[in-house]
Amino acid sequence: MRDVRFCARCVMPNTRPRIVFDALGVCNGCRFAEEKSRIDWTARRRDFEALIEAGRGRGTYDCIVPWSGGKDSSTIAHRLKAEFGLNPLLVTFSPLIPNAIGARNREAFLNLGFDSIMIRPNQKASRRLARRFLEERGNPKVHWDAGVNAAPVRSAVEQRVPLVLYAEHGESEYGGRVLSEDHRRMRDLTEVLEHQIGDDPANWTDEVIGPRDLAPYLYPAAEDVACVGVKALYFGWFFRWSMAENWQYIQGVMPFATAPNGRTDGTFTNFDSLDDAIDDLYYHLQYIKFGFGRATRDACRMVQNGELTRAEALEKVRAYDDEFPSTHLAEALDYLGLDEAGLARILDTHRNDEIWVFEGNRWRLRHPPR
Amino acid sequence: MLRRRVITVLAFHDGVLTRTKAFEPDTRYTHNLVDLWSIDEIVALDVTRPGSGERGNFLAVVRALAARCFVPLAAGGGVRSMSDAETLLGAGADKVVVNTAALDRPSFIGELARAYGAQAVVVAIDARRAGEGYEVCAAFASRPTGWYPEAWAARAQAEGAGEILITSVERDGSLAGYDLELCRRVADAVSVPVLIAGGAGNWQHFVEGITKGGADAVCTANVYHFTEASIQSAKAHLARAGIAVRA
Amino acid sequence: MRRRLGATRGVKTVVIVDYGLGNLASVASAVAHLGHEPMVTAEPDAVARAERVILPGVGAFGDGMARLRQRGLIAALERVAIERGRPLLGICLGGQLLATESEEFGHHEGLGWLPARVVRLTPNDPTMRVPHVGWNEVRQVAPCPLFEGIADGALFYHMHGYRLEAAEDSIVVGETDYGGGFPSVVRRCNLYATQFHPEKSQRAGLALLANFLERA
Repeated sequence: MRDVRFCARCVMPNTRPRIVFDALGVCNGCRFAEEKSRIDWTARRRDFEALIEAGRGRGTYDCIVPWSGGKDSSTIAHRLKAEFGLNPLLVTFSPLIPNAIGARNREAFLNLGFDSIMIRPNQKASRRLARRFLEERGNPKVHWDAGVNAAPVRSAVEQRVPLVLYAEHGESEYGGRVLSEDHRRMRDLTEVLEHQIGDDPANWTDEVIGPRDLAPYLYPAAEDVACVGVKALYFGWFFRWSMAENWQYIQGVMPFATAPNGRTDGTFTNFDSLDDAIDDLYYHLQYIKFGFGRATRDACRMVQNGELTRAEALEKVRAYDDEFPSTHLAEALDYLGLDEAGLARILDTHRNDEIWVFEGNRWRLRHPPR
Repeated sequence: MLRRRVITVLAFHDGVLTRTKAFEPDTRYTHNLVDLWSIDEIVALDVTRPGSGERGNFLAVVRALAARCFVPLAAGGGVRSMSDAETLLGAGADKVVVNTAALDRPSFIGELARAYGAQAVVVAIDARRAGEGYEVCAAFASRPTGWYPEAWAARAQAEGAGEILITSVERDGSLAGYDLELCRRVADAVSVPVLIAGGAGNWQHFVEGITKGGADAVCTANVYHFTEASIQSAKAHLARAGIAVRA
Repeated sequence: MRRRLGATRGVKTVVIVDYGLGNLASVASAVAHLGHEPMVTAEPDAVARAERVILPGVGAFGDGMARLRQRGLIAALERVAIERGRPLLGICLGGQLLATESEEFGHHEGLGWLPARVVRLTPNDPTMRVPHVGWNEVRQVAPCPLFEGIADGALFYHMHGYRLEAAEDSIVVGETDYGGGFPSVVRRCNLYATQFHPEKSQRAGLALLANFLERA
């Protein structure tokens, strides 16, 4: 990448994988946010109602909701039950390092009257994969991504529930590559595998990890999915997606615990991605690889929702993007079987020297956000 | 016994490692973790569209790879003349890969073979499904040529090609598995080694490429397949399936 | 994470003959990797004065001989390898050029220093593909300094459609089986030839090159 540019509207750089900037220098995440205000949401809601009427009440569960216990998936689940009278089954793929906040929020939500399944995979394999993917890809959660994507579909097949409702289409919402209009409505499993996970989890065998250890990360066979007729749709296609509104909504239905320090490392928000002690490191790695951190991510979403101006966003990015994730570092290091020096060595192998320069005894962005 | 090969295909856009999907440049990778010790062979392709980059950036990549890898290196993309080929071989490539230029002028293959030996000439064929069969496409799969891949492969061999690299355009960059029928048709039409590419998602696809596609070597362009752990996992899988590979 | 073979001691100049056809860069990288100083040259004088010579090869036989001749390298090679008896390693085509003749693209005379001719590779199983490309075992049929520390049956990278056919069995020290055996390592006194590419054969190849540089 010979020139790093920043979206003229939010502050996302063009180093974000698959993002597209238009002739006016605006990213496709921002363009999509604009588009959302022109969508006939009443018609989309009617489509949704027609869709659920067709399948309602056939079994114990009407649909499956992939559920972390965070503000977004809890809001979806609650609305499905409260507004539409559906009985969703919540499927959680365990965080790598579960923490008290996540557990408390999940428990509080289940008290509102929901069934859930939690899958916690073999931790010997999970730790080994986390370390491997940290080294190879600068992302300790590649296998978790696979598990989160596979678990709801597998539950759908096992429980014979033909509808899975995912939250938002990330490639549209946050800037990425949209393969087709239909991919925005219906989740394409191969798109997830190719873009998000990158290769087939069946490939992750080694001298310790055998094919059976990888079962939690594999999609069910295509025939089985077809047999049950599992359809995976995005809630965000039918209802205007807004993290801020979700945050408001969930606070109205339950006491929602937030980051104890008032904000999370590397950003200025306290309500997002709270349930895995390895997440702070995960976002820091994104900063090292692509040059934009967690504050950029949060600020861009808020600019798109009209909650921050670009100038305010820049201020937040400058203040927080660079912060090293120290709060949960000890737990993350233990999980990865590393000490601080070992982690630092791995982090440096992932620094892209087109983005970073070592100057005055520290790494600096060649192109700071502006 | 001759081992089946697992080959890494690296596509470079203006010198930057790039992935392609259905022949369109897709993501750029930030970190290059190609394991130069466990892989059997490397194919480096310049996928820079004319006018959107400098050839020198690709040559620098070929030089760097040649200096660091002690496995065979084939290089191509935009090879249109003897001097293009000579430049790549001079930069450390062991083989040249030709595609569009050979379709435009088949005798080019023979000129290369006479100068560098047939074993140094890899003819890459990109094909799409067309009706009951397939059609060869030129120029980054943008131009249909009217050739059946099996007919073109046979012609390329007659002209002096030492190996055929057959890629399914539709499967490129997908994880859906190779187009085995396409490979089988080409493998049956020639007696030179055939390399299958486009769509390798998991190790079982490698096995199928060899057992069902009739390929002598399986190629992957997925950057996540290039690491030491991945290559060793792949080779262990092939060995378990009874296919002789280099450990 | 990268494994390196330990660089060997003693830096000696090794001449790699540039006749406009070899995969010179990879041979030079391998030699440099082994801690020696490769000198890639087309200068007949430098070749004639060399302590050790590598004649690499990617190309066709006739063209290779013609280029040696045009550049005045035949006399220089004769001076260094025959008169001065310095170790010479011919790789692939470079090794074939040491033979008496070849049938590749017509009939061509070789340097004639090895009692062997170059013939088309014809596996006895017609379904086997030619050229022979890839990793194959080399069976050590006679002792040779090049094999020191290398397991019998180690894998080397081959890529060729023609092969040596020895007139005297005594020169054949290594054999590869591809629908019938053929000589893949040949030695006569100070002259060595490999049909495969040691510079492309990873650890075993680097070990063989190191043996040539230090033991031949």
